[in-house]
Amino acid sequence: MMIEGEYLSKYDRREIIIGKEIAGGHGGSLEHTSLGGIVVGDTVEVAFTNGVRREYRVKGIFDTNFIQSNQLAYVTEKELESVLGIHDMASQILVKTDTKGEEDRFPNQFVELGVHEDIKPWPVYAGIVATLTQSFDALNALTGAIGFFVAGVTIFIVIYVSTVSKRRQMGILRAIGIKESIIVRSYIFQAVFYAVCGCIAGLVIMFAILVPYFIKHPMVFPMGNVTLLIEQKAAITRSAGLIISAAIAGFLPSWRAVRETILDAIWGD
Amino acid sequence: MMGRDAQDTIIATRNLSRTYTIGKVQVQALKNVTLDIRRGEFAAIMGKSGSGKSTLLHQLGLLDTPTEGEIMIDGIEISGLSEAARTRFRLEKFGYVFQEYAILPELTALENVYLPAMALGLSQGECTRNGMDALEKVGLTERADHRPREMSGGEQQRVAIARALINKPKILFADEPTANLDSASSKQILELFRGLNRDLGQTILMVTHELEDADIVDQVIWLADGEVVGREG
Repeated sequence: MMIEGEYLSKYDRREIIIGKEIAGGHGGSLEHTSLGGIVVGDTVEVAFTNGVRREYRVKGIFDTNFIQSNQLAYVTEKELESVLGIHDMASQILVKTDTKGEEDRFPNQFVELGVHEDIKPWPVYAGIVATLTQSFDALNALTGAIGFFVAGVTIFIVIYVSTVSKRRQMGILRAIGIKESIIVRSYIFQAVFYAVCGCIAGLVIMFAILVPYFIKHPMVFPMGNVTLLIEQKAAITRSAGLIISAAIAGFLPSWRAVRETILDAIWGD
Repeated sequence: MMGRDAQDTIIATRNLSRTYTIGKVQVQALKNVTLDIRRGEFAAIMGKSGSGKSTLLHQLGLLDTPTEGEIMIDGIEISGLSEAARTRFRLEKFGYVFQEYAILPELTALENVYLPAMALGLSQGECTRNGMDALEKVGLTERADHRPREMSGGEQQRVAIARALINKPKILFADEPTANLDSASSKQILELFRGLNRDLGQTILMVTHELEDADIVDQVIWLADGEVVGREG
């Protein structure tokens, strides 16, 4: 987002847009190393790695909500080619794949194909993002595990209370010849039904309410805005996990309940 | 009048005993009970509270296992049956009516009635048909779609009787079936039992402590302190 001035247009020469951390004066985190509050229209001198120094008019100042990007400056491709004396050449390749975590496999394949430029997986460039992603993944795993545990225990308690309150009823059903396995299966079905309802409700709440809400109102972090992401595979895996946990939580108390004798179940204390 | 030969006997016990161990104390609830119940008979087990009547019913209904003695049901010695076989035996050959109606509150009268038929593996159509037949026998077809909370105590007990009848049991066991009912409903239930016995030849063994019930049954077995002390009829 431009906080001052305009974006570059394709044929702009001797003009530059700079991040707010370089410009200064826009509430950045690195104010002490900034240029101290330059504005659009000011002139800055840029020293390139090949020794060329050029003066540029500041056309705009941008804020990406990401501290690393806000420490960058951009000129047009034509301008950069004139400085570096190159044409249509990349100096660096960053690899990002559709499947998460497979980027490491590709740099070597580029080298084998004879490409010897600077080739890196994208998290190397966005190292801080990778670290943050790992932290979020750890939080995600932790909350997921706690969620499983709480859901499993809750369903266990619900079924346990149900078996205790229906102890006599279960005894009578067994007395009239209903097999124990039918009774246990009915409780497992009940628990799985709760879990399926919970999964459906959870997915509806996430996809219909929370995700759209956080896209519209993202959480603001120093490194950028954060929204919720639900991966289909993870949603399916967790739903399946919850259903299996529920089946176990339904089985244990009902199996325990049908272990006692029929007479104890019907007339016991 | 039926003879008491082996073919007519549906329940026979020989020297049946049941001893419970409560802590370090042994309580002999039944002592050497020997009796015969004829096919198509309406019999009552009577006696004071603690005389062992329910204990005897539980042994005969395969809800408990005797400490000693033999039980022959319909010509089968049941002491050698596994737990699974006893469950199947109860489902196929017995019907039970308990003091508390013991029908599931979430199900309609018809669904409650056909539950044992479903457990037997009958199709939905057969279950519904047999369920309606059973409800007809107890005069409750018009209440088929009602749930227990919409029915009186007497009606709920009639649903329990219909459930007991659905698999066409050899023996109907009733454990103080009128104990929770008012006198009008009790009379209705006993008349229903009498009718089922008379019209369908249903064998019924009922535990009761109501002395006047002795008038409507074929045989009364009197128990005291776990022993048979008398038989009438």
